[in-house]
Amino acid sequence: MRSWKRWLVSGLLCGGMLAAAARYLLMDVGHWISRDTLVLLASHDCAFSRDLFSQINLSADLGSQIQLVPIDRGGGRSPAVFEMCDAALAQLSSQDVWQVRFLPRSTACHALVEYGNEMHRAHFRYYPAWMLDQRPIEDDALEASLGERGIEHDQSNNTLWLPSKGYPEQRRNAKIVAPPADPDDPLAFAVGHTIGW
Amino acid sequence: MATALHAILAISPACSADEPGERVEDLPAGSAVPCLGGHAEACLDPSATEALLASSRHVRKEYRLELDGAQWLPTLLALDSPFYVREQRLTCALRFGDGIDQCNYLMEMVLSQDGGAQRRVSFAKATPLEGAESEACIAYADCTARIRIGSHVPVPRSVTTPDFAILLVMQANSPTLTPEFESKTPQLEGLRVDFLRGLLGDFEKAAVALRREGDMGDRELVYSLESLEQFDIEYLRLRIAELERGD
Repeated sequence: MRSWKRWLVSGLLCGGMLAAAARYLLMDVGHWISRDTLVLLASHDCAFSRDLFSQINLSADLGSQIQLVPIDRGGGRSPAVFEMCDAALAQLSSQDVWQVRFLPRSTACHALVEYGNEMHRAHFRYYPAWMLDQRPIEDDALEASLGERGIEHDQSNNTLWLPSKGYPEQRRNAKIVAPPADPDDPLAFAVGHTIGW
Repeated sequence: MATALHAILAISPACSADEPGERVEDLPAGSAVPCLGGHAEACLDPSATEALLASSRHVRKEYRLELDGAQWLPTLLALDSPFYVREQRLTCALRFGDGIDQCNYLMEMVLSQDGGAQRRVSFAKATPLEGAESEACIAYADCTARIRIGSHVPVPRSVTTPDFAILLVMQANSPTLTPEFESKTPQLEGLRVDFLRGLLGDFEKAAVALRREGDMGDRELVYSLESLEQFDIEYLRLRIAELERGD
């Protein structure tokens, strides 16, 4: 092989490997989240998910310990999904996750949601769902995982709180409410069933 | 005599052997006949039926948004129950459900008084929504319309007209799209009994947690709880028993 051909082949191989490595480093969301951070997988169309999501989003204390990851099973990427994405990406940015600063917002959002969908598909039946170090936290282990981080979970009204900061008064009479329906979306008022079940 | 003849002539075009119902003629669906693009107990007057359908009540939407919407809860629960026309629905799935990912369609029904406490479904028509017009979806949706004919449904006391129409937006999903089954197995018949027992435990816990809420101001949560308590849990028990018997 002539020397210029060797250089070309070597260059292409190296380029390909570099591109794969860059993609791995940039787009693998598993690397964006530190291993000891709790992860909440939340869906915009689930009232309990949205309720937990907004509590974590509004509290710096909770937000520093729990990483939000939106999931979007429908795949439509509605404005509500982007809203959740923005909150989750802001959390990652504040933790100096360089990949999030480097990537365009829509690319980072897509990667984050796809990661959430993949994790949810692999491990869970319901949402909201919790993970630690890319592994699912079972229901009966959640309280302990939260407790290790100084967080209590009041199951009677889905409230996360820190005993060191006192019970949040605004949550005393909190009620879970279904997400608002879009009157123009016919599927917002659908009756669903599983074929053959 | 002339009036009677006019009536017959007006009705006749509505009933045709070429209409979609032919595809499912051997289903155990009573005596439904093809009519006005859907199915009916007997030939209907097109103009009267179309007038009824034009004022269909969107019961799921009313339940969620209207002040007096809660009155539709028993109707919705009856129509949403997996026990509702169960055997026929499973037959539709066997014959037409294969390969459908998601099938979204409008289901229009005329509910008629027949002297009983509930209304009888005298006409049903399925129309796939935009983007859901695959051959399998059209056939499956049409089949699920036909099997409703002759079934009975509770309606609110406020409905006093002898015949009235309702519509539902139906979302039929492949088992792989159902959260409870997703990632466990692509085919429901492959579900293991121990998986279903786990699911039953989850349902029971969810019902207790929702019931503990007490005064639930949110109608969607009320709907979820009532569905769990009235049929979801019972249906899972039935499926587990059937699988254990080897049905």
